[in-house]
Amino acid sequence: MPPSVVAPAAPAAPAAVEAGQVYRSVQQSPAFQQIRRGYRGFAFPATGLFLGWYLLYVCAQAAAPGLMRRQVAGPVNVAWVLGLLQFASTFLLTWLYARNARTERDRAALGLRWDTQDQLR
Amino acid sequence: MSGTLAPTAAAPEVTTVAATADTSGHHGLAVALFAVVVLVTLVITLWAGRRGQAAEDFYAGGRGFGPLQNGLALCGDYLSAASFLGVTGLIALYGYDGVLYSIGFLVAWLLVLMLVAELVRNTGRYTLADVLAVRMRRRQVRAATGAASVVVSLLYLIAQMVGAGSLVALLLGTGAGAAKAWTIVGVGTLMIVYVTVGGMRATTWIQIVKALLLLAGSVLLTVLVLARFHGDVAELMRSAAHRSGAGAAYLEPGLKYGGGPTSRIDFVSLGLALVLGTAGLPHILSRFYTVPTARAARRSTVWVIALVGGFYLMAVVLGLGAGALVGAPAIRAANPAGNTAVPLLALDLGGGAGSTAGVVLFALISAIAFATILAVVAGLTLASSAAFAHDLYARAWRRPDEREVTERQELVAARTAAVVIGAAAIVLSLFAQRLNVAFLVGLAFAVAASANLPTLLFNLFWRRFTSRGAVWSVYGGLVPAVVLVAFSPVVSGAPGSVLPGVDFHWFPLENPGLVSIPLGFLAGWVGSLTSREEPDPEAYAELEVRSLTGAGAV
Repeated sequence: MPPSVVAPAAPAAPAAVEAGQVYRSVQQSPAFQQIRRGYRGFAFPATGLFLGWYLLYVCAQAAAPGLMRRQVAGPVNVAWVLGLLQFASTFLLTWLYARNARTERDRAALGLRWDTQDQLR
Repeated sequence: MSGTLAPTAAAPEVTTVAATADTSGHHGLAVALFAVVVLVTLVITLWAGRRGQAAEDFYAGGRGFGPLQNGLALCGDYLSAASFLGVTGLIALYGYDGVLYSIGFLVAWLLVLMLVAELVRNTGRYTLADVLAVRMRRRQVRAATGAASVVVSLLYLIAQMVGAGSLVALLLGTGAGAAKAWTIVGVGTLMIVYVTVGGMRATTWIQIVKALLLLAGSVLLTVLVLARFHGDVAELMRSAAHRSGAGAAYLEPGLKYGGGPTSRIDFVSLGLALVLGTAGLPHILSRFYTVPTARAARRSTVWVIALVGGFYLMAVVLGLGAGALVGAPAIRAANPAGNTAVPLLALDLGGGAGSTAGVVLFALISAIAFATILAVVAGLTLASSAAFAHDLYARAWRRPDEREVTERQELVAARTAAVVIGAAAIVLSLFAQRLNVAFLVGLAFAVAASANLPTLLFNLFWRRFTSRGAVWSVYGGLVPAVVLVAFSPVVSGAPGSVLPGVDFHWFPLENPGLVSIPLGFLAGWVGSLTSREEPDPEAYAELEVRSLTGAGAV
């Protein structure tokens, strides 16, 4: 990430106001907007997905007990399969989130961190 | 234990267990191992206490822990005796419904991973209220969040200590009330020593040691159970169902949470509280300050999900194993809630009754359960004393014209608070011994999800959130949660109520989450929209930039 994307804050302003302006200008910089999009674009839909999927699973016990009792293989029924899928989806989403953060925004965030701290000094 | 088990000795299939429980040999070894656990934790405490006495050391353990270390410590904080003994007992007795209960505890970590861990690490110093203080500089905000943190930790603490009393009494084979009371006093005193002498560094190391012991013990027992069934999980499920007395229903939903429409909705309410509550637990949030960076906070959460997920998968095997090998009647006879299913399973796996291996394994697993109790109460005491000293005493209760509290004074207040809160928890636990532990844990999660989570999420992600919204969402979640419980069947009007003989309940559910969590979010939203003060865009810019980049993080 090029360090020059953030406009320097006005040097004459008092310290507190100046810090506020630095944060405002960093917030509006394209580099930050990209980090923010990268983070929210993954975390928000993923959160909606796993919360919805978990609530669906919990409500299914109350709403569709007949379906949950249906046998799948041996002693295993639909309820057990869905339960084990909850484990599987949790592990999968964890891996995807960690990979997304590592490849998409860790480096840019670190660059912007030093950049912002330089301006605040 | 000998007294409670005596009637079952007549039943042929449980004679082995009952006979060994009657002999007190394995309790002697258990007592010796308990003493070892206490000794080791005290040595850790003294060693850690000498390594630094600054606020950074006391609240955050010096911020030098690695992701795996913090991941283990988070597991230590999270996998309480209620998980190790309670969930496995539930699975042993109720089969599938026990598994259903445990899943919420795991899925909850995705919320922590995606929305909370990194951002909290980047913006806070020691407590939950610190994260809000980046944007909201009013003292009322800190007072509200600090108070909610103390309430949540105290509820959870009482749950753990009440559980500790009956568990240790069970494991040591003394069913008498005096033994439970002395256990509560002993555990309470130990946790005060850990926290005041060793602070966060000692608490973290105790958690790490305990988590390793707990995972090693679980792996050992899981391997033994699977070996007994020659790796045939279907056979394990069938024989657990066969010996449960419930037959096919054991492997289907509804054995525990299927009593009727109310009971099913109650479970949905509990499930919601479990999955949303974890991200608002102060003792979990403060763990993220023990690692140096947000990246380390994320990696520690990934470790937690791997370890906690693995643990709950093993818990399924252990619960089914206890159901299949010990049998539901023997488990119920030892403890109606099934809390001793795993120690009894260990006894059976080692060779049962008089065998040396059985006695050693029983004592080992009991000692691990004891270490679990000690570690969790220490983490909770630390979190509540931090919220009291750092948020309430040093900041919220100061007028702006007063002199600032020095770090030294704040730490004295924190240690004093640990002693006072610990003593209060001991006294309250002695009076709360009649309360159901699982209910208390569910309530703590419900309050965390209703009061702490809406405030935290609005603060991190909503530009128009104001101080008034923050105060409203804390009280708008906290007050309904507590009031609804007061008028629920838990307190009056049901056979197992706290106040038997009177009936003033009108709220049908035992867990208030389904109503109080939406109310907390609603209150924060309405409070923000109706407040006269304009949200400060610069403060939100600062929070957003800091939370996502780590600029200015300590």
